[in-house]
Amino acid sequence: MSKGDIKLLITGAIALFLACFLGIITLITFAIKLGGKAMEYDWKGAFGNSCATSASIED
Amino acid sequence: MRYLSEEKLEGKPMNKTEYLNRLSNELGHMPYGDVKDIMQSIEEHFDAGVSEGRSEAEIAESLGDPKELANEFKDGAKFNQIMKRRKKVDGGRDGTGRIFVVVFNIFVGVGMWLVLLAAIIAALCILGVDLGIIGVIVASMIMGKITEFIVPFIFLLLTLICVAIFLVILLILGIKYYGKGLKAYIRWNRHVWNYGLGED
Repeated sequence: MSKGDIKLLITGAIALFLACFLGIITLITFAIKLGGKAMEYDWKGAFGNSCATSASIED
Repeated sequence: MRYLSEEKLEGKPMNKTEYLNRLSNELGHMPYGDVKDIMQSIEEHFDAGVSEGRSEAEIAESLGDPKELANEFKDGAKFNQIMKRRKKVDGGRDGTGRIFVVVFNIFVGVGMWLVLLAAIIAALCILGVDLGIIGVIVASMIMGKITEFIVPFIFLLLTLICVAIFLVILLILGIKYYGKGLKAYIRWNRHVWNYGLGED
């Protein structure tokens, strides 16, 4: 294996490590953003109406 | 010593004198003492063969190309070792090497190289998809389609760039060593086909 190949191999290994590291950060940032969105979402409004509708049908 | 031209002898059965001439010609750069010993061994081998009733041409043929023989001597091999190898060569002509090559290639060899080729093609396809996604994300960012998830998408972009770099390097090294490995494998197959299975 020549020196050039070893350099390429090391670069590849660094790229793979960075890809894994950044991939985890990407997942975390997506999770944070989606979590924030979920917190802001009007869950009561979405499910409250359907609950009220089903209660009136039972009556 | 008079040297005969190689062109003149190419492909023709050689007698003892012609063979020794060509061999000494090929051994040219070795120390005089070594050349003398080698020539003596070969001469004795010819004499022994002739006394057993073999023709000089047959003995010359069994020794193989003088150039190859000289190279083996240059690599440091001794006459006895070379003769052992020659016996293996004769042994390899019984067909077991050829059967092994065919069977091994049917069940292992060809499949293995095809799987590796498929892996290279798959890596190439993944690289294509990766670059495509990078293109779509960059285009969407430029066009202002991504507004809410800008930070995660930047990280996604960086991840995909790193994956692309990794795949490019993997492909460069993979294709290079696939070629080298395939050449060596074909050489090995040819060796087994011609000389049978052995230590070398």
